[in-house]
Amino acid sequence: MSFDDRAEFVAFVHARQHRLLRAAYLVCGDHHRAEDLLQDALVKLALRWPRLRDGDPEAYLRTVMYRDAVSWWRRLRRESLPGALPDPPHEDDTGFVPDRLAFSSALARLTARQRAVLVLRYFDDLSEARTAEILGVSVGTVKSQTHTALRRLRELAPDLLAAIREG
Amino acid sequence: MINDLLDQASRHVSAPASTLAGGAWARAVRVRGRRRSVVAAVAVVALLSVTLTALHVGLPATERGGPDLAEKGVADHMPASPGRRALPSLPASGLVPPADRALPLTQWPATRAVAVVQPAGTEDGKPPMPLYVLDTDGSWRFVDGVALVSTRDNSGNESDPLRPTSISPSGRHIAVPQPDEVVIVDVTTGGRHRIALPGLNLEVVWRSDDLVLVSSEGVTHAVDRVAGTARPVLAGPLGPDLVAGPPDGPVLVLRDRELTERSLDDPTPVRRMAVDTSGLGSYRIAFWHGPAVGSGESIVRAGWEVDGAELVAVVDARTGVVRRLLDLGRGRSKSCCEPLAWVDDHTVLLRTDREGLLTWDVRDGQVRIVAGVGVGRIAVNFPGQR
Repeated sequence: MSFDDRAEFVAFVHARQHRLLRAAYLVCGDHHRAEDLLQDALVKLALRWPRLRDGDPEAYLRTVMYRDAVSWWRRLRRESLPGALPDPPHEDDTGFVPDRLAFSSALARLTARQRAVLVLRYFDDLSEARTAEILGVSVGTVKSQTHTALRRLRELAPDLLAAIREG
Repeated sequence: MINDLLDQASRHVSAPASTLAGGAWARAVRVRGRRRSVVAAVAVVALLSVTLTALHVGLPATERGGPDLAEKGVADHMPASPGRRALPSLPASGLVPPADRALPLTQWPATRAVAVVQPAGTEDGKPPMPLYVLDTDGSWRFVDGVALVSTRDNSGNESDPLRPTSISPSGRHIAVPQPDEVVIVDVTTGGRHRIALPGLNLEVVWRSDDLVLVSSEGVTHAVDRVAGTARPVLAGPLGPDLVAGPPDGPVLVLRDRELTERSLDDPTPVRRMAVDTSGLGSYRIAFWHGPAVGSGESIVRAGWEVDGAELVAVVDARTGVVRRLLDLGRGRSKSCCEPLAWVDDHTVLLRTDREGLLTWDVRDGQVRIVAGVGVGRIAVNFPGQR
């Protein structure tokens, strides 16, 4: 792991880290956990950087991060850790946004897999096939999870009905 | 649009610290250094081991002793072109029930269930397909007169109800979890029993031919098939972490990095063991998935390696040590591969997405293809192995 490797790695991460952190937050709903997820995925990527840098390191990074997010959430739900629930949606610098609040609350009530599918499809703008590859599931599962997640969002946030459309 | 809402919902997340990439790189360098130290230590141990083995090899086999599985951990890799092997009880043509030639179980009872297959149904939003039972003579029945629904967990994840652990040790009964009940089918008579169990029941594990454990996300019930009664025995969501069999041994739970022994009548674990992968070099299991199938002193279960490889591992039920694993490689789906049953005390029957049904010999690591499978759920039974 040479100095050049490190410089390349740092440049690669700098160009993507904010977007990836936002994606991790959307999947896990917790700022600290999102940073941990991204950091852990970056360590794994750094360990394989010499092998992956000429391939598709971004795909590897996303695969690790999303799979870890889903498995972490599954463990959390199973163990019901006190004090480890997702951050509630709160105001930010842009002020109170009712739509965002309603959407964030609805999003938090989906399963981690459903959130991951939505984020990959509509936030990262990936195809169904690419989403399936990253999550390690079939395209059929991506389709059905997308459909179920959007239907659930429409039930949970009926005021946003017009905005929550497929595609 | 949904993408605008996602954008808004994460807009307040500020950019990570500028040291994030550098910090990750530094951690990776430390991890790599530790791994090198471990490799060096393992090399020294291996050298000592080879030396001792060379001194030891002159002894007759009976004096060498030792368990069937290797003393030290061994990692096998899925061969590019596995050889073939026939299992007498399974059709070489594959575990694909001929829907047009299967007979109704109520009119044509079976001798015992060699395998049960439920073709895929849930993913398309349809009700589950029927259960098909493979009899000892190779003929198929379909379980008639039982309307099954999909199981679902508290998050709404649905799946077809047949489990790899659904067949009783003798092969006479099939248990299927259902919301608020468990359905038990006697394949030798075609009789069906529905036993009420409150909750979203998800997993079944037979303890004997008369007693089956049924888990929901809140509690595990012990169901007495003969009396038709159920009592809560273990609290908490155990799901597939509950090890299937052996019938007379302790109740085992394989979860994350711990194997615990439980008693059905006492909520306190009798014994806790750390899942130990130290004999397997850099392999670390991030999490388990699918059924945990026990036989004698071994448990086999699928998992995901921390670096992303799918694997199947054999855990020593007495110590928690991972004795052997099969590295199935990366790029497979998470539910791609699952152990179905022990064929004998050293051979596991696996189902994988690319190869179909396979045997994996945990003494010599040989992997061989048995037959193809269709899309759907499968349970296979080898009497006396659970």
